[in-house]
Amino acid sequence: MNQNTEKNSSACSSGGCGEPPTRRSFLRTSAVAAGGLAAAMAALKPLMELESDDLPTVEKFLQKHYKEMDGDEMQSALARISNEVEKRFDQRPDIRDIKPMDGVEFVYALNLTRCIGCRKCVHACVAENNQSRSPEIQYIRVLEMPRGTTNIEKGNHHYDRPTVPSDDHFYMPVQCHQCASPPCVKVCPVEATWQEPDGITVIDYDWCIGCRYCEAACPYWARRFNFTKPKLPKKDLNPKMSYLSNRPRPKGVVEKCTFCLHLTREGKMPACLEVCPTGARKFGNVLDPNSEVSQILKNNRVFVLKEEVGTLPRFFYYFDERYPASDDAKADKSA
Amino acid sequence: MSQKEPAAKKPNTSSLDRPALWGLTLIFFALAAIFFFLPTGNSIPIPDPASVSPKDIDPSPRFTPLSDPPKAMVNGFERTCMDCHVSIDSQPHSTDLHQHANIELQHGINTRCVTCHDSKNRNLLATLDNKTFTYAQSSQLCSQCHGPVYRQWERGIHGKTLGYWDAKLGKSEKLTCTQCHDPHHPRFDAIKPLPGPNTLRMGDQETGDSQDHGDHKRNPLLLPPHSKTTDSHLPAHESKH
Repeated sequence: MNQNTEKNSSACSSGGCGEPPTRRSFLRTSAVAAGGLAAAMAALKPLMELESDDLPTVEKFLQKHYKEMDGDEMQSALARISNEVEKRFDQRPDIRDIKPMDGVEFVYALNLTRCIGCRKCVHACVAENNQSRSPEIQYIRVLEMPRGTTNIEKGNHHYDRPTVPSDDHFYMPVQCHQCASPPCVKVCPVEATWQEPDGITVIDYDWCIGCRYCEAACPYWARRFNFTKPKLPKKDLNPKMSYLSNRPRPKGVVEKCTFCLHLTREGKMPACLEVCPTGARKFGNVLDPNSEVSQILKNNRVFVLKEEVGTLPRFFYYFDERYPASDDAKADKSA
Repeated sequence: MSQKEPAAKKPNTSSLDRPALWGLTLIFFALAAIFFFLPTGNSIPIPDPASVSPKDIDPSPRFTPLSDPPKAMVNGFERTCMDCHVSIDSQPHSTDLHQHANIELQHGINTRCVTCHDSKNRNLLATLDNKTFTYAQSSQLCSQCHGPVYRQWERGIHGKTLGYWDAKLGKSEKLTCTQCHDPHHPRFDAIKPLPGPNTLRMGDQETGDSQDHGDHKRNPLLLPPHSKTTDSHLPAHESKH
């Protein structure tokens, strides 16, 4: 009995230094210590699920920001990414760093009379851009809007009717608008996202720290975050990639629509436009006065979403008009 | 425990010699190991996405335009329209078709074939003021009634353009009227939408038409009728615009 092991006046023990420990104080302190240690171990639990390719190589760790890389560094980065993709997907990708074209600024126009809400654009985008399938990331969100308003807060994101279109609604696809004054770029603490000269806002996936400030700043819910390691089946890989757009992303980075810059910077149409069955989507270079989008902006009554927040989007919506101004004999039809 | 005054001088035993402290340390580390190695079981199950077949997202045009003049295989031989119609005395204003019965004409108020097809030469199309066009010029036939849309199509505001947006790098392919619209049934049919965003983790939610807001099992949030996911409880005067 007198071997009460907690009674040791010469060392700090439960109950505080200098005070003889009591049973209550011992139990309290050890409960706290046990709880703290257990919580610490539970927090470290993800280390159990660490895979070998989650840890960066030295080369990846020391890689510079995209804007600071010169040609050789980019080539070695692309080679590293090719090796990673080949190891993961058993396919050698065709990955390049495609620079913007001169004298080009992209603009997207969308005809809301023609959109039927079929969501083919959503899934063509998913097939083109190597996004995670489980959980599924979709860059484009089609909103089912009640007639009479263009307030996107009233849109239904999760409509699932037997057939579309519904007579009481119209459909408004929303994706990254590549705003001319992008709030997402302003809030990024590490400058992992920026706007390129052709108007596309891009992300350097190797520089993004995953804080999601950009996701919070975007008024159009355009950005998506990889909460888990993206699961992409090998057969669904699109091997034609570019560094800034559709290469497979790691866990913990933000991604979004890039206007398919691996296609559009080579003159092709983005995947969402190609698949639209009603031809509601229009894309082109707004600096070219003969392009479709220039004609639309000149002749149709276009509007943008959330104009009051001042993001200056590059995505313009319009409705078909019965007697559009373009048919007016006095209208300016010159190129 | 009573505070006995520590008068009885015990020899100074160091912590390492006390078995109870060893036992406690073991318990601590056992607890830590339990939390580290055992599955926590609180992960949210991620449902697999509904599969979308590649033909749902096929970008090629809906219809292949007919050749000019259109040809068909009849009894093993390739025939144009006039190969039969030069000798058939078909009633041009008849709507009672014996051949071509698979064509269902649903094109607005048009109920006669001769509105678009030339009654004398079936290899040509004809307008109501007797101008003829070949099948390659079929878009101009559409413009006789659909003028504003035709002007918009010429500018690219209506319709679909595939290929390249940059003329310097490749050809752009503007689809003609009949590559999207079946001329006998031009209105697009309603189709089933592809799956939406898989972001609802709380089980089966109310989306679309069917409503039952009193039932927790079907609507765990008990969303009120005027929320943004359900709108068919709007009073009648609101839903008609």
